[in-house]
Amino acid sequence: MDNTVEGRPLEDAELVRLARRGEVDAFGELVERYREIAFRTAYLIARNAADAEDATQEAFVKAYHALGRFREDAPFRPWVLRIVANEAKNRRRSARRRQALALRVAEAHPSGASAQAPEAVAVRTESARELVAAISRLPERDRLVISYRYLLELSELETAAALGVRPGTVKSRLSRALARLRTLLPAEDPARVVEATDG
Amino acid sequence: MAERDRTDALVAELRSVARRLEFPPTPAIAPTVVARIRADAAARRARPPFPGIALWSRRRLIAAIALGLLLLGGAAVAARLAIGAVGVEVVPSLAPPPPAEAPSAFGRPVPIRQVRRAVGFDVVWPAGFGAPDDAFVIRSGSGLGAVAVLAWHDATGQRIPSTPWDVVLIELPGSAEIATKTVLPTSIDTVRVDGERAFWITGPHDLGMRGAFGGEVVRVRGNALIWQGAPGVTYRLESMLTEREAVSLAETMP
Repeated sequence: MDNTVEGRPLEDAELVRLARRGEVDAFGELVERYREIAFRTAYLIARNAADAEDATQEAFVKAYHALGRFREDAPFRPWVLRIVANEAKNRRRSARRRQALALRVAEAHPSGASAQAPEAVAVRTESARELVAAISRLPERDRLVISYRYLLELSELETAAALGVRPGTVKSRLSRALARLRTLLPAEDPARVVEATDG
Repeated sequence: MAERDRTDALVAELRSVARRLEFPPTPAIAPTVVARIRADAAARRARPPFPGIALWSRRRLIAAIALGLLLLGGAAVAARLAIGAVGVEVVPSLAPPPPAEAPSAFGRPVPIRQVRRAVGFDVVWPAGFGAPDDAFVIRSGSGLGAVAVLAWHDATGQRIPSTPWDVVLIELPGSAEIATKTVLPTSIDTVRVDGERAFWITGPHDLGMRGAFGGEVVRVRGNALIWQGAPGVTYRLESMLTEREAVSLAETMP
């Protein structure tokens, strides 16, 4: 099946409508569209790639079977991220051992006119790694709200859906989490300030 | 640096790190998901009109345990099971149908914001559902907290007999028993919602709730799934859905 109209990709709502009529390929297109954000959402909870993959796959299968009850005018992405997050939590509950979040930060690449000395680049990279390490030491409630909102760049609505809270709750939870994160970082690290202001 | 500036700088740094973060590579799951959905559909078409042996064994086991408890306790003392604020009484036979039916028994509908204020916990519903068409508050009395009742007219397309709704979601606070279900041993099964134990009750059964229905019980004609979701909140989802559909729906709850 070709899920395009004159070469334009179909809107989510149209793919959902087709999938509800039993067009499994249309649903496959939705999976393809959101597999990366879904997998990363699951990975932040499950903390290992195998569980995150299982959770993502299972969540999409469940989402397909639940499509009959999905409100057609609602956005698909937050809805499916909610199911993914639930599924990842189930798997983590049953996992024997908890793993630390193993996210890598790529080397900072100086760009154009603001090219910096290699030492400055190394400091920036180190500073970014410290930040990721600090995030992984936060309690899950804080870690997830910061990760979803800033590392995955989910909207507030999507963050709320993935956390299972009302959108209004995201702002206050985020503000508390940022305050806690700051306490885990060196108070006035000049490298961090440079990183933040010119990044 | 002012508090606000420091927070802004931290947010800017987080955004900068996000661009350089390396997640494990995303697996190509679409082909597997599509294949699983097709296989599920093929299996459903091929399934005989009766559930498979495995399903029967599990259901029979639950029924046998319930019957065993009944026999141990004597027919007069029903077996009791519980999840959170919902107790389930397993009896050898249901009394004649009580006069009350669910729609009128919940009282007068109120706006959802009033429900939220009254219950004191997060009132939630399945992802993808719009706001409920009708909402009610039942005050259970004795300091046990208020119960939220949310109902939808057209969420699944299968109306629950004797009601104007197709989904009724009841949310109960705490773990003290506020609601009691009376069921036959053959109509209750244990299932899992989000990996946690849940009850799946099919066919007619009776529901009594403190502070509601004038102390009477109502005869319920839909299938009910009972589970604990958010800490300290028990959910009861009534619909005409199958077990699998109801569990899937429950798992989309925040």
